[in-house]
Amino acid sequence: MTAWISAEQGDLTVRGPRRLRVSARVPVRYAAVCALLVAATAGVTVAALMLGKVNYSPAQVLSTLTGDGTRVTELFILQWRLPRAVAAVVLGTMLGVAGALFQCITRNPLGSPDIIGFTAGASAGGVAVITFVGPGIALVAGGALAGGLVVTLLVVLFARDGGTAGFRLVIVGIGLNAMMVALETYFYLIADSDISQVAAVWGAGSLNAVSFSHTGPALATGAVLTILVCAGLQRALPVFDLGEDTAAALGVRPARLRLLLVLGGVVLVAVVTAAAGPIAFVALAAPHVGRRLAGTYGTALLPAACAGALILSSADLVAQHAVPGHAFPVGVVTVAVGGVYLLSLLVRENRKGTL
Amino acid sequence: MNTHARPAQSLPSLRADDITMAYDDRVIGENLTVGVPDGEFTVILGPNACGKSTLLRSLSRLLKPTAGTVYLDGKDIHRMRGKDLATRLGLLPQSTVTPAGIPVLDLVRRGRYPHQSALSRWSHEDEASVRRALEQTGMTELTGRPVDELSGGQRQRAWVAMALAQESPILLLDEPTTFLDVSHQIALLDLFAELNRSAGRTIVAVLHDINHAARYAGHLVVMSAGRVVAQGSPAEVLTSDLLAEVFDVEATIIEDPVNGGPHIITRHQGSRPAPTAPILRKVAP
Repeated sequence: MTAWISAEQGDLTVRGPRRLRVSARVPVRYAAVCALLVAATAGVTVAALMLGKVNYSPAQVLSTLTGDGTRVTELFILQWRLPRAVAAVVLGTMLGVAGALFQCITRNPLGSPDIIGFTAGASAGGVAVITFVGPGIALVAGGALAGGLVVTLLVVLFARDGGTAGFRLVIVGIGLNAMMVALETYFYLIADSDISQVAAVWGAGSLNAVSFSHTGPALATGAVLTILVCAGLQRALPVFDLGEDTAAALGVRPARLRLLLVLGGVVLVAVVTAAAGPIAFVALAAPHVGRRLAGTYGTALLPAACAGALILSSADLVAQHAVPGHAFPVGVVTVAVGGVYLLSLLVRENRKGTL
Repeated sequence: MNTHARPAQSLPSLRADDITMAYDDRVIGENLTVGVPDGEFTVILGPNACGKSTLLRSLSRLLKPTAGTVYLDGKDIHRMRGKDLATRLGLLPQSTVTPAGIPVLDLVRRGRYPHQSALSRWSHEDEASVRRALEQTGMTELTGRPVDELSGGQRQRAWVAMALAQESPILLLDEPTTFLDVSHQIALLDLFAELNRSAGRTIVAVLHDINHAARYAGHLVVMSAGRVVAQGSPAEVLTSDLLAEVFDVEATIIEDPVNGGPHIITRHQGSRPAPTAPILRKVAP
């Protein structure tokens, strides 16, 4: 018997010869949505490479990417614009996956690193390190990780009586977020003005300073980590979504999986924060957007990853070009858009009574 | 017809050998030895907080005994690979989480997880098992409906279908009929009895209703205050002395007019006076 493909009830099933035991089932809508998101991200990336002080045509961008550019187009497109565009895609992917992991572990659609205080803690930690120690990327990463973990721990401690579900977690998170913002402002004020400038740009979440030599290692690490996390956890998560007892009954070890989820989520957000500062709300919104578009239920890493890439690369395009001659940090755009998104989400979840 | 893989033919034998069950420092029960007869419908019965569910959790590896061993086919279940255990022993726990909006079909498909691998993700067997589980639970017409919009009885059937898709020869059910009205309770118990009879599945259920237990169980395990006080067929086990001791009720046991087994008529709680005459007159033939 040879390999065969069948389409039924919106699913595409692929099976190899029986003795090879190779088979897969992909919902058509899921595949189409992921492909569309990737295509849209590619489009945004090409636009990011085209636009700037000097504008290029798509043809010029493509020929430069394939190695047929002039020295000038290579300088603009490959050396200046490409690192930033790649960073937006990779970091967006990481944030999307991290958000999905956090929401899976808290079993709460609002349980993203932005809401439960991790992003704010990482931000305050990073700014503290820049202010008091120095702006080395490894140091800042360490400070961000430490700050994020401490605040997450505090949120979980304060919210523990209500479990990790519901409004309690969100409210405690909002409270601690506010305190972290105050702490950060304090650091800015007591630091020398040039250091405070560096810290403020980092603290807003920006891709302005991205270059292959500076952020390259973080991006490469992040990309590898994301692939490992997705490949390793992706199959067990739909089962974990059914509750820890059910997961255990189906052969998953919930305690170990939970640890891996936390570890994966925390490390991914920490790497992003170290590379570009705290970029808010992508981790919150990407899993929802991905899930709604792809028509999946519970945790879905791939749609979240694709949506995250599209959201962050689009946000950065807007940040760079919305106001001519003035490049905002991308974090400003994501906070502005994300704030509105969070409001609509709160209203919707509240109406459904899932909080 | 080979695709209709029956549960494995080898005889499962699940037993707890002298186990102590505890949550952290709180000991729920000590020195329990319980055997689950192969191919029987076993019911674990007992008053609230006697350790019934804890015993079921111990039998299904959700809780590791602090002493003693739970054996499946002669092997310590805590030394088995998760998926190996899951293909032999299924469990419908009390606390399940229904992802928002998930359709019945999606939920039931997730029950195939222990049979899948990175390469084999949706085999003919997976498909056949899901179809059979939906048929057995009468959910075939509802596959596209969101589980959280179903009625309580249908929702529980969807979860049972998920556990059935696992195709394990042993199926444990933790209070599967709680929160259901009586017709849904009976429908579900009939389904378990049917699965037990026709497919030879070993079924173990924690139930509250003594008469449901008496009607459906082939084997009873009665617990009280963390101890197993009786094991055996309902006719052997259910005596008025046992009911007085375990449930603190005075009861008369009559022959069940439906299947000739024991049927319990409760009179009054052990420490309370008997109810007044008019009620008794109504009951008397």
